[in-house]
Amino acid sequence: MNKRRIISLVLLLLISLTLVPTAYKKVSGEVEGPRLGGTLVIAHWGEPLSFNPDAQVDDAGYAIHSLIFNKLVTLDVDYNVIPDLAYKWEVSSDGLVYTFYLYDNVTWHDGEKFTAKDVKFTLEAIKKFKGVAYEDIKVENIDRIETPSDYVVKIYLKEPYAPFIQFLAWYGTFILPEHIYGNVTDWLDPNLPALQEPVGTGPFKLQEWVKGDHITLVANENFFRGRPYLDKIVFKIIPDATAALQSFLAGEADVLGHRPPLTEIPKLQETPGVIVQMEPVPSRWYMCFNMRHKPLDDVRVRKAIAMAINRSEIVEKAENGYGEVAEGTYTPAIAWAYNPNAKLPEYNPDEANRILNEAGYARGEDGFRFKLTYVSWQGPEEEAMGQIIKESLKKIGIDVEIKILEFSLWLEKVYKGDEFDFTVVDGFQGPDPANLRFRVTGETPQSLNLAHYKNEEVEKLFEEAEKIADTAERQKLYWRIQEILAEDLPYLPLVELIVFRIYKSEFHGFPWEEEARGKVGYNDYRLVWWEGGTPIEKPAATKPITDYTTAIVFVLVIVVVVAALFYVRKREKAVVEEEVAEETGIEEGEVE
Amino acid sequence: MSIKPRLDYKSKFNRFIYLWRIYSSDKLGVAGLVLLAGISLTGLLAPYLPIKNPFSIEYPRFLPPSIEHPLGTDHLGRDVFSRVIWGSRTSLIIGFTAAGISALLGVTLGSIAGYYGGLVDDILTRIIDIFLMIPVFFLILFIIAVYGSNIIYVMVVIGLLTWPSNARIMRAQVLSIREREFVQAAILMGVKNSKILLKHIIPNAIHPVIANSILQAAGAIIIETGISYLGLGDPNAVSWGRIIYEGQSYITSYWWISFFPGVAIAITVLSLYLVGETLSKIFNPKSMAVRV
Amino acid sequence: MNNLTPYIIRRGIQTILTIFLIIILNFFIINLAPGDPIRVIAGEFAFSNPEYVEALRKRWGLDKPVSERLFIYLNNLLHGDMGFSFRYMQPVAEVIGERILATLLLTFTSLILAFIIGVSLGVYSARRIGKPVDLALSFTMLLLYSMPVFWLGILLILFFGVHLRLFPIAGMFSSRVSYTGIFLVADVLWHMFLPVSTLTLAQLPIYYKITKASVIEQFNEDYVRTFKAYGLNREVIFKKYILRNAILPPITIFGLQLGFVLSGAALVEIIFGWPGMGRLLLDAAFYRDYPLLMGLYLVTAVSVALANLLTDLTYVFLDPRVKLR
Repeated sequence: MNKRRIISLVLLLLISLTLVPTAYKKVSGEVEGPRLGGTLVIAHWGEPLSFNPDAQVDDAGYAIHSLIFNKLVTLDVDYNVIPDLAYKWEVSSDGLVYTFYLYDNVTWHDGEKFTAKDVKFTLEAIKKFKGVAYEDIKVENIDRIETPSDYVVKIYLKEPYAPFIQFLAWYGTFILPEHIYGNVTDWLDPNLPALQEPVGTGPFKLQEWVKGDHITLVANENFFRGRPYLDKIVFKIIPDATAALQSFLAGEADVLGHRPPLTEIPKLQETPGVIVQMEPVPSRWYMCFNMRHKPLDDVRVRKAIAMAINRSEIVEKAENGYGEVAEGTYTPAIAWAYNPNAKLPEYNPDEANRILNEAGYARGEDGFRFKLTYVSWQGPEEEAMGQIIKESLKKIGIDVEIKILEFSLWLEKVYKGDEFDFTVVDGFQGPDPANLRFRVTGETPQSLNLAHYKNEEVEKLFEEAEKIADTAERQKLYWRIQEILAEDLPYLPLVELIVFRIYKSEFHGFPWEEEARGKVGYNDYRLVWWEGGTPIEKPAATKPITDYTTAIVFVLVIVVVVAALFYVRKREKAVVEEEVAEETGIEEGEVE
Repeated sequence: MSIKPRLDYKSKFNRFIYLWRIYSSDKLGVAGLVLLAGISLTGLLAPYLPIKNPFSIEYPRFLPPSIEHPLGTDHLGRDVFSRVIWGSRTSLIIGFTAAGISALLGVTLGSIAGYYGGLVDDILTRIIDIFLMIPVFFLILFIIAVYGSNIIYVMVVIGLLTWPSNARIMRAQVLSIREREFVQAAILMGVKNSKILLKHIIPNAIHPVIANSILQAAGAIIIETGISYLGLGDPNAVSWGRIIYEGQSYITSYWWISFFPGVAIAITVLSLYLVGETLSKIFNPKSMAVRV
Repeated sequence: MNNLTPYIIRRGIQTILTIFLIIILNFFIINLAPGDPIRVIAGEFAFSNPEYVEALRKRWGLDKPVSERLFIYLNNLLHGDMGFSFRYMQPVAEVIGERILATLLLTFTSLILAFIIGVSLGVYSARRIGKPVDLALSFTMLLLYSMPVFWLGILLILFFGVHLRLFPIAGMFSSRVSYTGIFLVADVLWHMFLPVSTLTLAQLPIYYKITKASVIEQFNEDYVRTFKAYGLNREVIFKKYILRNAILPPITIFGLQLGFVLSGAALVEIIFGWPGMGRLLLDAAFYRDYPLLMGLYLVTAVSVALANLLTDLTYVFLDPRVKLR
């Protein structure tokens, strides 16, 4: 009897031990995802101008447009072209015909089906209404657009244009509904309801826009790639960077949609529950010399200025150490095109002084050789750079006057006008090095060539590079361009920029995170999920032992063991009674 | 105590002593004057004081207040203490220039309105009313945002927008003085109007305007610091408002950058108020600008 | 009272005339500003075809000379149309309308609070003049008066919002949950606390000073001495006569401040991210949104003029000594 007891107990113990690991796993607290539900609040820096995403430059609206609309193809966070509305595309060998194959299960937010005619309409509208993408996709270069079926679009170009697809994936190319914009005479007409209540194909729909305060988006249940995990996304509009940061720290927002004061980054990194992700971006701060003004037309002066500015100091003080010193004339973030041999001058103020002395720019009585005006727009980094540059150039005898203009005035005076000697700008220089063309050639305001730099060789190199498809060949040409730029120095790059993504760790699935990287566009939050949501049931094949199963098995085993124990005891009892009865001759129940 | 300066004093010096006696009876007024004098002197002598260069970026950044840097250093490595001292120059220049322009315009237009009366007076009063209704800060904000943030603009625009209050005061004064015997006598004697105005009326009527101007200087400083705080100030000058603006992003970690200039503004404005309102009490007993 | 009606009419006409002149003045200032709004709309990237820019210009009526635009504008105004905002792609009236309530919420509340608290404290101080309480209060008020309002706001944010985490520091609504009904009211009130406090504290000192001075002035009046000699109860003297007379100056100030109820909170709105007209003005100025700017000035001018009118009329009722000029 004892032996049996012991045996059954041991068995029971063994069985429970095997089940413990599964139970224990649940307790250790790793949240599995993705989960459905939740609201993501973003502290956003500005208000969109409207919900026509292709008509005007709307940097504040871009993030929001990216959730409401789709493009044919889009860029992921590494600037690769990935499918959006087109799941596949082909380019003819002569580079003149682009064929896109579209998803056939896409519906607009108002229920209409999306077809190839929407694509054709959008491209033609960009041409007709001079949308922002007009130049980058070279709309004039499109000969015709055909839609052989509802889900196939063929674009015929007049001349090959290598970066065509990159720019198609970038900016101002969101596909618009033909059934809404079709007969419109002015796509920015303020009376158009679509400007306030957009109809797109994207993973989220607009729920409400309370001007000056917030914009609420809700999940599109019928999104063609599947309903997004989040229920809602709220863009809270907080223009002031410090207020936005405080709001984020106070828990009022989940994502900080602002570049915070860079001195706060270490603090943010130490805050529990907050993730600070940093990556280099293909953008840099660079100084533009107005070469129309003497003495900036003299390359020696430009070189001297380049030598007088300690770019490390700028990274340290204006960027709080977050950034890399610029060494070359193109951004190293587009690695294949970057020429590491075309280097900028080293910091050497003594040499700078010597160059200026030799070039004949003598110092006056006040110690200054000449005066220059530095004009920039508002912003802590720009203004800090101005102060540093001013102090640096003082040392080589150049008197700098700083003018900080608000942005539209800056556009007026610097971009359109001529009232500056040098300025500082930044800007995205990807996804293809062809983008650089807009910055170093051409005339403002059509281009961004603020230095008014003219170099025929450079212009020819750009033109050639756009036409050929072979990357190695193109690289040679772009490398040569960078060499020339390093000699002529119409621009002085200062800092390679780092982008910061600051958000709460309870949210996953952002486009830069591993689980979503390469699958979604760089502004697309459709794969973002919240730890507090409800778990999604996974298909049975890969299902590990869940809690329920564990519980049921556990209970079953206990029941079986207990039943077994009872059975064993009953049997023992019966045996004992038999033995007793044998010995005493008394039956169960009889009183002695 | 409300005593109007007596016009029959033998010399200007005596008059001044007399004024001083009255003024010094008000202790707060004296305190304000001392404070103001101290600030002005510091500002004037700033280049000669043994303080660090306010523009130099060579010191370590973000140092908290210490003996070496009494108010710490800012995000570029500049000494906050010397910037605050130099900032007093900027603020006082702006304050007094703006108030000066305002006073000049106000006195001129106000005396003309009060002296000549009639249609001229009506028109000018209408204009004054209109100007008084313009929301000054709003308009300055716009003008600076649009035309650029030169410190000269700020001064001139404030002056151009605030003259009406001086004009009103001046006009009331002129109206009453005009009826005095000696003025009437001068008119009868055929003295030229302009001479009457310049030699007799204005010197006697101007006292309330002086008091008001000091208050306006304070107002101008407040407006300028407000504009600089929004980032629209002149980046080449050292302005308290701008220091606060630049330090604002770091306020949770490096509070001293934005804190001390605010204190400086408060003290300067305070001293101006004390002086201005004591003077107001003396010259303009019925006025609403009565000190606490 | 029979010279009252012509007075009202006269003042009414004056007011309208003034508003008209302000509009014209502002129109010229704004439209002659350098900077082309079309460039801003075209943005940094738009390698704009000149034809596109011209089309834009036509759409916004900016191709016509200034004087013609003025007439068009005035004509539209008379029909109740304030034009379209470049930036928001909406009628100006709508844009302002959406924000006006938010501003009024701040300014009215702080105005009334400042009045009540300031006047009470002023009276309190006047009756205990020279005593430590009075001195302490005076000193505090003096300090408050001298402090720049934005600095005060920053300090409040730092202390209450960041350090103590008691109040939100930006915006008018909580972003995560959309409250309705009583909870919405509570939410807005909670967000309102800091900005209203800042504005109230900034306006308190004026009411304090004026009231205190005014009450003291009444104390020195002959009639008070007479009443006292006759043995009238001090409290009665105070409440029935002194207070009534002394309250006039603060009311005048209140009336004057009323005029700035739409524009006075600009800095505070910007600091606290409050979606009102102050922020709207700053953004409109930056964006060169002429129609919106005009609309804002119009609304402000009208409110100031109306407030002045109201104050004058109230004064006529309250103080029979006022000559109806």
